Amino acid sequence: MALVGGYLAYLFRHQLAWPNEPVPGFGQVGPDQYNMFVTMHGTIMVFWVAMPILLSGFGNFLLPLMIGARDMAFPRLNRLSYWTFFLSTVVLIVSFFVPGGAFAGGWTIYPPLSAEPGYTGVVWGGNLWILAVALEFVSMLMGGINFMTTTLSLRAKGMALFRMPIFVWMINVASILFMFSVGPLIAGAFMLLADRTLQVGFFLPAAGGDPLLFQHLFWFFGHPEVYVLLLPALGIIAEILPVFSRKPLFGYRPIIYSTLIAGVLSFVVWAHHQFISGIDPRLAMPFSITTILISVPFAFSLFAYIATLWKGSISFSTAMLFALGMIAEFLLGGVTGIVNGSTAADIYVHDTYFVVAHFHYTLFPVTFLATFAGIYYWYPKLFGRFLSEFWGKVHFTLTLIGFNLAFLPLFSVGIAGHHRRIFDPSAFEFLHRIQHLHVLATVGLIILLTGQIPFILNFFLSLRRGRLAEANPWQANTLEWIAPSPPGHRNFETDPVVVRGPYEYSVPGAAKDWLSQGEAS
Amino acid sequence: MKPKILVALWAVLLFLLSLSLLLGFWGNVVLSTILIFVIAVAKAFLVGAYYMRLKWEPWYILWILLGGVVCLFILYFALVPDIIRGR
Repeated sequence: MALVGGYLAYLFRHQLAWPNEPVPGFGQVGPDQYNMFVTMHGTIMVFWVAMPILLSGFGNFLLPLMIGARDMAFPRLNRLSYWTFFLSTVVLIVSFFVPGGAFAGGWTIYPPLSAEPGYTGVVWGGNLWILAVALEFVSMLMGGINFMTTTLSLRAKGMALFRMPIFVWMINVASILFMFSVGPLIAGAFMLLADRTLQVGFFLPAAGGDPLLFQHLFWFFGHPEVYVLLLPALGIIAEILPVFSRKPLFGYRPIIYSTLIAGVLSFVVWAHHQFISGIDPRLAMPFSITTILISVPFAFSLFAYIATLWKGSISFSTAMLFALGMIAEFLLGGVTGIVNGSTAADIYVHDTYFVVAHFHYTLFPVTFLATFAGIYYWYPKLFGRFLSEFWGKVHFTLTLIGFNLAFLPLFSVGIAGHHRRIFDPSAFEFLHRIQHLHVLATVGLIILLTGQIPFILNFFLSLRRGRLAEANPWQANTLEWIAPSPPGHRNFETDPVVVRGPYEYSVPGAAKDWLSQGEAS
Repeated sequence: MKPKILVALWAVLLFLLSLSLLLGFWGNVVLSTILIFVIAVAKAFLVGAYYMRLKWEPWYILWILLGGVVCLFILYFALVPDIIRGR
């Protein structure tokens, strides 16, 4: 799905750089297709790439291993969750091929544009979009309940809550956030479906409905969703930094407390997406304050990560490079978010390419850089072989160059006043002077996309040809590294017993610079 | 827990539901609304405690449930200025 999402990005970005020229590999992009590609790119990348990889993919593999469990608490529910997700993917892909094509009203499916099929000319594509997302959320909900139950009931002997690796904490907090936030959106989605098919009018002004209500329901889910993606990514980074700097994680407990505080705050920030949508101005100030406030716990976590590196014995493996890259790029995303969090500044930059640049600097490091860091780090555990470090570093270099080239210019494009939903920038004279920035961004995107080829080849070729890895090749502490590589059925050969915390590196007086968290019983 | 107890609880829940419906026909709108909400809360507690087995779970499980209720109130009260007063 990431490749599909990337291909869609290539199509509309080419259109922006060279308006009305045929796109190599596709042909001429029309305005309706442009809207469809943008909508489906956002949908796929958020709901079908970031969420399943970070929460379900890493969570399912690592969570039982890290707490010393033999399996998830509900293995059958897990399988049902997977097949429900698979079904949702089929429904979404099918929507491209129905009459009228896939949904084209923006990935936030705002009514009234989405509530009345006549506005976009997309009938079945919109209905299937809603159905696919609802199925996907049901699947993720099943997964989240499974994560929480597994953590609360299947921890190994000695695995107290404050001995759990940060990744396990993050997966659980993310699952709780998802569980609390998803209900209103599923309800809103079905109300929207009722509007589209039965003309009920929940969100149609002509029928007495209120489009703002949908925006509230969407963002009540949508903003905690950002943290549902971010937390597992921060968890991955927290596992990698201590290993490759041979130092304990700085501020283990404060990171957990700040994550919990951020989790609570994430439910009182959603309306910052609606500052210029016509909400009651009395709502704007509290939401502006809470938005700026939520940056504090996350800033704490990131600075704790940076402090972990202080005077560490750092080795720049590919996993570590991606982890460091994630922190650097995400900081830029966080800092630019302050602009959007302040009502006065947001009124100016809202719905411009500044916002596009900001959320890509937030979500790309989370979704891709952290994921790549995790894959390079846990690949030996997954498959018993290493990925090639050389090709990993080529992959890292091309990804970082491509990403920054693609999105850094968009801050300038946005500040210059370029609205993000313009199909053909050449139609507006005041945008001509920044056209070269679109060209630069598109070249960056092409570098970014081609930069993934070494990774894909490396991933599949290393399955057979990669250097063999022993059980604990990185000399790491957490429990998954005492399981065989790859772990067999039921994960561990004997039940592990946890005797210490997860990040005890370079303990003074110890014979070696790492002390495994668990011992075989 | 014995199935007999669960069935008995189900009967109690049905009785409370009927009571709520009957209150709808009562002339005193304010009082009947308050009572319907009280009955709804009581039903929710019974379902949570026995059918969801929260009565026998550790205390922190209850916090997870209460977190959801808090979120519900946050959403509801934040919608008031836009959706209810805005009309």
